[in-house]
Amino acid sequence: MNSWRLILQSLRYHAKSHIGVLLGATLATAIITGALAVGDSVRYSLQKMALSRIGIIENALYNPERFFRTKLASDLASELGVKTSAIILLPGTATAQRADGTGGDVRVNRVQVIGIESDFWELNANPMTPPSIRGESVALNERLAAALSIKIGDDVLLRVNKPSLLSRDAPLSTIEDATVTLRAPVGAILKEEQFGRFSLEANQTPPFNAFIAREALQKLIGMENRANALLTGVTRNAPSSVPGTQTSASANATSALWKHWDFTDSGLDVRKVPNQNLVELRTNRVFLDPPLGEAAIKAMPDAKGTLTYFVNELRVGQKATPYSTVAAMDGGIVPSGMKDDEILVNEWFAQDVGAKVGDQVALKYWLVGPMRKLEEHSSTFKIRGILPLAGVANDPTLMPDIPGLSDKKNCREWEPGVPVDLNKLRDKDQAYWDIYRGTPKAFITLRAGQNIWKNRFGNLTSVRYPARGNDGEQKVRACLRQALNPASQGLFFQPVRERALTASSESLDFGQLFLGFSFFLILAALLLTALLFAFGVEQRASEIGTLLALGFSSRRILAFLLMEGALIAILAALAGVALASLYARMVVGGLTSIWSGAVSNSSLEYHANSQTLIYGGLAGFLMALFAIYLAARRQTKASARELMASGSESAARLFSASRSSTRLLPGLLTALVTGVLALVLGIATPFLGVSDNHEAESGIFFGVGALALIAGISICRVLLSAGERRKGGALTMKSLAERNAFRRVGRSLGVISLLASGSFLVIAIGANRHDPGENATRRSSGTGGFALYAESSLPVYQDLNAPEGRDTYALDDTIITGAKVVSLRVREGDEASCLNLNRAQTPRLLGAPEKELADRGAFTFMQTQGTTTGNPWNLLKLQDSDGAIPVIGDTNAVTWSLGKKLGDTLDYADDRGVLHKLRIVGILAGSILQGGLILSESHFTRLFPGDSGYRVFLIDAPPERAKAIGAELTRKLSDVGMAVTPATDRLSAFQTVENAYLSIFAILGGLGLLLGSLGLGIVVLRNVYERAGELALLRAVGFRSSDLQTLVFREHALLLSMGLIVGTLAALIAVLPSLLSPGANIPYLSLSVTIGAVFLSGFLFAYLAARFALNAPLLNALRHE
Amino acid sequence: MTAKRTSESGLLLEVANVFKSFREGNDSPETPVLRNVSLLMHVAETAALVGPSGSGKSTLLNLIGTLDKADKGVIKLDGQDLTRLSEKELAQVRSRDIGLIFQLHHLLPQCTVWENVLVPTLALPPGNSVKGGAHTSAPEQPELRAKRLLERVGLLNRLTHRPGQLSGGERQRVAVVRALINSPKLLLADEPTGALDARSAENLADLLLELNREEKVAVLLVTHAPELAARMGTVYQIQDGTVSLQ
Repeated sequence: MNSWRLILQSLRYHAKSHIGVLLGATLATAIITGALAVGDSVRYSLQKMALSRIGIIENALYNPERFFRTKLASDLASELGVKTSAIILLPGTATAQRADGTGGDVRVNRVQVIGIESDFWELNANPMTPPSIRGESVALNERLAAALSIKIGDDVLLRVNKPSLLSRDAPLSTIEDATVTLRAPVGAILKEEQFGRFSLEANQTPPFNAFIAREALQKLIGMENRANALLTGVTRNAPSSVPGTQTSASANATSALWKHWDFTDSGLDVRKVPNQNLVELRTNRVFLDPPLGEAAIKAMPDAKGTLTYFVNELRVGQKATPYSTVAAMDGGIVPSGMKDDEILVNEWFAQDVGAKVGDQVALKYWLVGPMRKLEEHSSTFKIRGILPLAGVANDPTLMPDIPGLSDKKNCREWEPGVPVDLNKLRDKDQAYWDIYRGTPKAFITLRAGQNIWKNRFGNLTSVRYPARGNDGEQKVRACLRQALNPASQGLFFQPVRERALTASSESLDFGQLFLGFSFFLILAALLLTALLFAFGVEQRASEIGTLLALGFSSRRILAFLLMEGALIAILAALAGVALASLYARMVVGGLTSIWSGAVSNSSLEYHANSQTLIYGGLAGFLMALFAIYLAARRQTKASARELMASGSESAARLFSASRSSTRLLPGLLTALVTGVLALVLGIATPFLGVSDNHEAESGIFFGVGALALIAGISICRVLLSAGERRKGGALTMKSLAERNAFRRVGRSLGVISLLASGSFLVIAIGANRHDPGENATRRSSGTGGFALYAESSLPVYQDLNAPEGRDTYALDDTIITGAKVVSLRVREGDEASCLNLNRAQTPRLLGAPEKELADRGAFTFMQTQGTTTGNPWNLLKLQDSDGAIPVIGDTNAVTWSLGKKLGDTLDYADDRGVLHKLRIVGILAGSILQGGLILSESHFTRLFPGDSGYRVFLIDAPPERAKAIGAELTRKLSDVGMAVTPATDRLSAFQTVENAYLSIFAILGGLGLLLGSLGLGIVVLRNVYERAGELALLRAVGFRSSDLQTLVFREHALLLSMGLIVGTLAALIAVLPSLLSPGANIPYLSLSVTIGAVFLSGFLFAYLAARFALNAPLLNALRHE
Repeated sequence: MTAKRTSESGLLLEVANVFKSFREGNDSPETPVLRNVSLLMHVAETAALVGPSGSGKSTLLNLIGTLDKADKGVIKLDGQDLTRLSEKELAQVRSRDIGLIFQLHHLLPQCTVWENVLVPTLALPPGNSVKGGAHTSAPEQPELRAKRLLERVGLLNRLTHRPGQLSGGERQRVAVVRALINSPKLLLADEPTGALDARSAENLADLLLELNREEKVAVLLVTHAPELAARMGTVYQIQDGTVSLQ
């Protein structure tokens, strides 16, 4: 005989009473492990989507504005020993005829039009037969085909942005023919496994993809043999790294790119300047990017920069020469001692206007502001000298290649991107053009020119170098190849694979989320476990007393009980892990059906790691053991004598804490204090100024409700205690039931508290819904007071508030009048909102005119950092001493999608691959701006000069005409894929996710409450067992069995009712703001069903337990008493 | 610890001026049960405690058996003051020096006869072993002792039976063996024959007296049965909370 034998014998003998314990612990383990497995499943599904999206692509170079030679792909393939593919990636729209035959069209915005060759399909993770895309036929992915209701053979119209060498925001750029279209038959519809889901952005929602032969797209957009994206496949040894920075693999790829890069890949040209011993670096983008210009100047000694500008007129007094070029130079023609307010003019001009040295020359020229707002400026210079039009002064190469200008033979055919009054041109101007082309008519210092003409696109149009020796040009070329990094021109690789995997692995932890949702269910299961174990041990009171009498210490007996419990817990853990898969599959099934709103309708599949199952099993084992320990601990505190003498209620009394629970004062005081606090807080809330901040208001009311709950439970305690003391009064079955309910104040209060707390939480959280329409017209609401929210697939360059902008799109003034548009720039990135489960690595950025938002006082800030005058939007203007750029984000974007908080920074690469720190200086309460981070337009254009135009629009409109205005904008801007929605609808879409989470919590919490009501049944059984002798006596004196069942049932029904009523009332107080909002969409039905089910099941379990317990032969208890 | 503490006079148990009261609930008044109780027992002595129902017989037995604590007074067993010991030390005393027999035997239903009699051996403090008798320090294998005692009480053929398979008398005999397995110095029996028929009761009484002689274990029993009390060497009468020699 040894201790183990005793334990095993006890376990075997009392196996029946342990079955309930085993079931409770199994359930707890199954739910814990299952919840963690749900987390695994979501992560696995997201990872699968990510890999489906990028195939075997490791790095990607993508610049929408830069087109390089497609040959670079094969060069890099040889260099790196990986698969590569050069593609064209353009945003666009897709339109098809309606399938219902009504004759109308259906249009899909935000389409990715992808020009590919056969090597692209080799980057798919799944081996596949390339789809048949011949000539100009297109392949659509399933999502786009479904959205267009289109099938193979049908025609689709694709519209894409026509790339411009010069940014369309730049001076002298044109916005004519900004888009091109292609009508083509659908040759294939691609599934996800056929690379249909391809995208470089980490969003779980599949994109709309249209694949077309690269050559056909190149021809369409006028970029033959060019591409703007280069993809490389995985290398063998790809180390992981910090997201947002270049991995060594991407660094290798970028280095290889530099090795094979050619000047033409960046639109650069290096050539000898005719008749001069100079070599010149120039660009087809008119202006050299600032980093490129700086590097070019530093590349060689004696490098001289030039900035040549197209001016509207050169005037001296009453005479003027129209439309000429002026060169700002550093050296060359411009002598070193020339002042910045001086000018040299050529003799042709001097003759034309009759100028002489010392005269003042006024230059008039266009400068381009935001939204291509042209402003004519003027600067005046004093003529220092007049140059003969010969030698170095006769240099047409000083003029950059200006689209619409340089290639025209006749200056009356000029079509630069700025207004030109061709009537001002004279025959002599044509004659000048015929002979001298764009030879500058005047020269100023480079400093003076940069001062007046510098823009974000560059402050140089060329850099010149002395060509020394016969191979001077080659030497300059070689030197510039070394000095000019293609990354500084926006050609660098990003580690897309590493980012995709990080985004999915750091996604919202659904495991923890479901652990939280399942909290009540787990608690109820553990409570059952503890209750049943305690019940079983109480029935062994005499056995425990015997062991104590035999000399076993209470600690040792507790150890025996714990070992028994541990063996049960081990079995439960194993069974629970097996069942966890079932629970997790059910939850995943729910997430893809009734709760699909919580995961933005993504398809998920079940997957559990073995590690998760082990941890879940271990957690379940430990929690069950802890519950058993708490239950067992109490059972070993009584003396041996008492235990051996016990048999019924006296035993239970031994085990229960006999506190001064019958004292009235503590309960009264608690009820009074909490009740008064609740009342005061509730009355004061309207005056706290939080009515526009739903989160703050909800928090306060939740607090009020919680205080009301405590007050309610305290009142119950007072009633129970007072009831226990009551003597006298008429003795009826009802009063007897009440007396019995009040006997065990502690236990009764425990039942009431559990049910009250459970129902409070389930209702208060489940009913806490937002009404998107509440106060929607107020600036402080989530809509910012804007009536409409719009996004375009292609950029809008003009100001839609100005007549010129409205004229461009033929907007009807009678409809559009009263509308005021705030336009925002967009840098595409990962969706940072609750619609994307992935952790956003490179979030979408919006460049906003902060003054417009500040003047309106739009949106409500939850937190801000830093000080500024006036509205917090002005924080965007500042820049920290460490160079961090301030950004503002919606609370959901910042907290959940990015995993950041106020003051945190994230690294973000600009157009040139330079990393900048973005610092979160403000957090908005739930708003329509969820999805990205907002920075000031000025910072945006500095970081991303190549991103031209605007794509997000916040529109003020009179409420009664908002719909008509939205329809007009959608119709007239259809070519740019404009989609306009009411701002409240956008807010609703975000709140759908939140509401789905609340529904899940309410349902799982309700299940937990149901299980808790089963615990009530066990309490009934236990109570009857303890009072067996008393009840037997009542039978002996003539009470029928049914009378006793009614008595017991009534006692417990009273406790159940008290608990649920207190909890429900407190919860209703907590959600009062939601209840009073007409559009809050509270799930009254499901909550009513939940609470109703708990009521009914509680009554049922109490009834069944009473019936079961009282059917036993009670009279035996009299004999053994 | 197996120190032989028996005093030169052979005094084993000394109960001196013991008081004990009970309170039913927090609001109930105290009810005195034992008032200034004193008695002595010597090694291998037999004694009976008799008295009307509710007189405090079982209470006194429980105090001596360290199942309860006296409010006042001294109880010494083999020279050791039990009233000053901790719970852990009292458990050790119970396992080593005292054997308890209850009216309702309180055998563990999940264990066989064999296992039930050996259970107390698990409670022995470390360093202590089962002895061959109450006043010898010579160790004896627990299984051997158990077998010997079970043979002595005529239950060697019921080793694998569970309590549910035994008669009342047989269960009580198992309880007696269990009480003696660790060779206690004092055997306390609370109404040992209360649940037995007359014949079984007589047999049990014979057994107790025989074991008293063979094992040299002192026996103090509580009984309502005058014939059983008469067979003990000393009879104490307990009435109104006080004890007197009959």
